[in-house]
Amino acid sequence: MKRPVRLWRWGAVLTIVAAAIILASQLFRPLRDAGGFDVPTPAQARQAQAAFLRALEGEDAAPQGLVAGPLEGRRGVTALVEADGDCRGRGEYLLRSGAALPLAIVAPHRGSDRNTGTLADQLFSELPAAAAAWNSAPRNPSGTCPGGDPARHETHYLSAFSLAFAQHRPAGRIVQLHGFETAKRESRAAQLADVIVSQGTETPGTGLFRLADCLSVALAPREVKVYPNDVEELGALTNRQGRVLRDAGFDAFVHLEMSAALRGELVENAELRSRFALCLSAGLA
Amino acid sequence: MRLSSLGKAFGAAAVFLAASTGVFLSRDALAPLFIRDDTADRRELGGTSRTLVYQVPRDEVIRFNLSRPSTLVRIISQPNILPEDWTKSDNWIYGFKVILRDAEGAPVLERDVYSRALHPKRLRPFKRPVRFRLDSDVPIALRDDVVIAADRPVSTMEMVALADADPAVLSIDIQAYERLPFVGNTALAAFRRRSASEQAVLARADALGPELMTDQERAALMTNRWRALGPAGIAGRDYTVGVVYERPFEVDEEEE
Repeated sequence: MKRPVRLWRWGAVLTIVAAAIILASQLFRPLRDAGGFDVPTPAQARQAQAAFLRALEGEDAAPQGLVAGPLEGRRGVTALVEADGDCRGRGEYLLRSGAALPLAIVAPHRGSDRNTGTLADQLFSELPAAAAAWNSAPRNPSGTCPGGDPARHETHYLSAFSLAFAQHRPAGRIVQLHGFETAKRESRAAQLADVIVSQGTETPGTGLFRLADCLSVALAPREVKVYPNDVEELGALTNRQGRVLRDAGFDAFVHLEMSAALRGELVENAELRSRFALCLSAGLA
Repeated sequence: MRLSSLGKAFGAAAVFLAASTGVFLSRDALAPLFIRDDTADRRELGGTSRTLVYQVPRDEVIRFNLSRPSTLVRIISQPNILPEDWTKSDNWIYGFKVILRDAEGAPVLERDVYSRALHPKRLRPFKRPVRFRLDSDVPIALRDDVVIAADRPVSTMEMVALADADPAVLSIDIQAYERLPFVGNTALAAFRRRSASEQAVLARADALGPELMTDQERAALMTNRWRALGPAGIAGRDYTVGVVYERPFEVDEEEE
């Protein structure tokens, strides 16, 4: 007698759940159509890396989900961007053909880390650097874009791009520009810092110290700190691009945290920016 | 039925093993071969601290503007010795002139400071800091420390190297400090604003730790503090700046 009653109850529950799913899918149809923050599978990431490498070598190639084309107004620069209306957070990339410093300037948190996007663009143009990259979706979801952080995913397009760049320019350097709020820092050392440089590891190499020394002189009397020697915060230990690059044997990854005041100054002050750029490019042929 | 399940389990395990091996091998094959091993450097720089030092010029002054008028300034100095003179002597005389000015620019105090810098080996090994520059093997002489008190508050400090130094002295590097005006409740408030870890560092000489100290003791920790000063102007144009690395003492086995 009891069994038919249980089945009826289960049937009712399943019907309600199914109806809720259908209703939710209809209500959130635009978001579903837009898709979420695109994080490739490891296999797709390898394909993306190969495509980035071909693009860096000058071929007409682009990873799936990105469209390649010349950038208007900038000679010899190819842009890899998402198609119009497609916002899946795959990132935006500029690659320079011809003579350029083997340097990639990356702003993975453009928008939330104010001025880093503009600064990356200025440095890419003025150095000139071989490549630059930006996030293409905000860290938190907006009305039209899903939110996500490229620096948190090992298989993100930005990781694939970083690996391809390291493969293409093994003696080069990849610099990620970030921003921090001094008021939110815990230690006095970080509160007083204008720049915190790190490699995402507890044992940074000599190259990072050379860069820090150069920045200390170029930006003096602003405070330039090295993680973990001078400051115990913002060491980029969870940064996935740093991790995959280290795993691949590339040790010229630089994670550069800057105070809001310094970011503003660098964007506005061309002379200060040129000294800053000189340090980023020091030692690169 | 049991055999079939067992077979499926073995099959799944075999597929998983094969896939894992494939992924592992392909990962190795894909890994770019551009390893630059700097293990030795990493070991050497672990635990070091970095300090900016400013060169005192001979012909013109280097100027430091204090953040607020103060009667106390501190100067840590060290001469750079010619590499060939390290074996000829173990101490070197050098000097610099200090001019302290008030907010209007009027001189408040003018003093010639002479010091005798010592070869690091004049200190017993366990007391000796290891100080070096990243791109130089030339040793660095021990530092000298001087505190100068003025009769009335000063706003600017100027320095110039004195000519009658030991011929082996190539140049003089200094660090300049101003006294932080933390007294009484201001000092206590400054202490409380620090994070727990920083309070622990400040109180490291006290056996009880910051939690068990009295407010008077906490305030005392902040009362005698110095803040580093940077010179006025632009590096390279108005002054020369360098970086000195330092790490705790090392026992020299040959010496022992």
